[in-house]
Amino acid sequence: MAIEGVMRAGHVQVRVMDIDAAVKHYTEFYGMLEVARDASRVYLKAWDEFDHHSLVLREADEPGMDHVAFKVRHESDLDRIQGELAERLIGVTRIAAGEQIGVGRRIAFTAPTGHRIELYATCELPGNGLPTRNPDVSPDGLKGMKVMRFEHVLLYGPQVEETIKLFHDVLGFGVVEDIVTEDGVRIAGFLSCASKSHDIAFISAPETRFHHLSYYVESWDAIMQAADIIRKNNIPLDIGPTRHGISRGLTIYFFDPSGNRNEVFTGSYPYYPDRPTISWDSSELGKAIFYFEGRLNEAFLAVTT
Amino acid sequence: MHFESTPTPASHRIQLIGTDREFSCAPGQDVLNASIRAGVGWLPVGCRGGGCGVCRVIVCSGEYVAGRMSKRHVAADGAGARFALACRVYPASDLIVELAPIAGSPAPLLHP
Repeated sequence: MAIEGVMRAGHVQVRVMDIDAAVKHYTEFYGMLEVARDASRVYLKAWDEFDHHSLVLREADEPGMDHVAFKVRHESDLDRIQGELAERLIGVTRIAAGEQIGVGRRIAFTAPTGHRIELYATCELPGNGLPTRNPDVSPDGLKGMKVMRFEHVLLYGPQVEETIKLFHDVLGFGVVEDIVTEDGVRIAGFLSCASKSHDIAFISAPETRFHHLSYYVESWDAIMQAADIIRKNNIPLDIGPTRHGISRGLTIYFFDPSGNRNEVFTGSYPYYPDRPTISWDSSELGKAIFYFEGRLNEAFLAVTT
Repeated sequence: MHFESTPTPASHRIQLIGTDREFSCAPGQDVLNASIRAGVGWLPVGCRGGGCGVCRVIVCSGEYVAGRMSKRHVAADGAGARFALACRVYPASDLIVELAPIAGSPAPLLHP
């Protein structure tokens, strides 16, 4: 197997202020499937994921992200990574198998940006609703934007350079694209652990914040259908449909009922470890983030949870 | 005393303190959405879900019903200010409100 170690962003646990409103949003509009509930959380998957779930909603008195978790190839990867984190004096918390329904043991640490990052190797594989022999291309009964799979998260926080270095050196991520000031300070990084243009991205900010979670859809046409669903259901739109300069991805951003930002995303390019890092001058930030508009909207900078 | 058998829900006037801006908020409408309909830029527009804090105000006078709002942004400050997020404020009377931008704005260190 060519892809070893950290394979992908596997799940994200997000706080919402009204669990019923959130479940309605993520199932009927975003198009995910509810797969399980426990005492405090609702578990959802996108249809084309084989794993048990990729989004966990937890009711709380403020929105934001509890943690993002990456799936590694082997249980032994968890022990190796835990050792390398310990060598760098980064505290690791062990979480027992079953704390999340369907997920094996996890390890967790706090990134220099302040975000909780988790790793796990084992997850139940209920499948994508299609047979693994001679399948058709999609299951029946999908709703809303019909998101297909978890793409990435974007996080705001301090110490982005230290965080990028940790993800590169310990977790094996490549720096696919970054944004650099004229003083040579890196203020954003888009990182890949396998073949996507990014599994996680960090942007420099004074406080630890959640910017957005992103799911993949099949086409530009699906992005426009998402825009129709947003308007029809009065979902708060952030920006789009548009394109990113960074990643070349096609996108639309909007908010869940608790103010957490969602993206549906398609396009982009495959990443291989020998691909040179694409760097953007911070003076070209507008084009880098929103290629069509050539400038940022204020909300992209100011609105986080 | 006279009671109407089917009272007509009233619109309420929302006054932005320190400005000459005043707008009407229809029954069932939140203050932020009313301001969007009244004039661009009168109140800052964020997530519209009570989460991000961008539209935070202090309600100086009047009664309202509030939807769920992020505790991070509406916990009373030391002076006991009555913070609320305009996107979750449903007036029950005329209101006088004051803009109260969130402290430590998360705007990132991106501007060159």
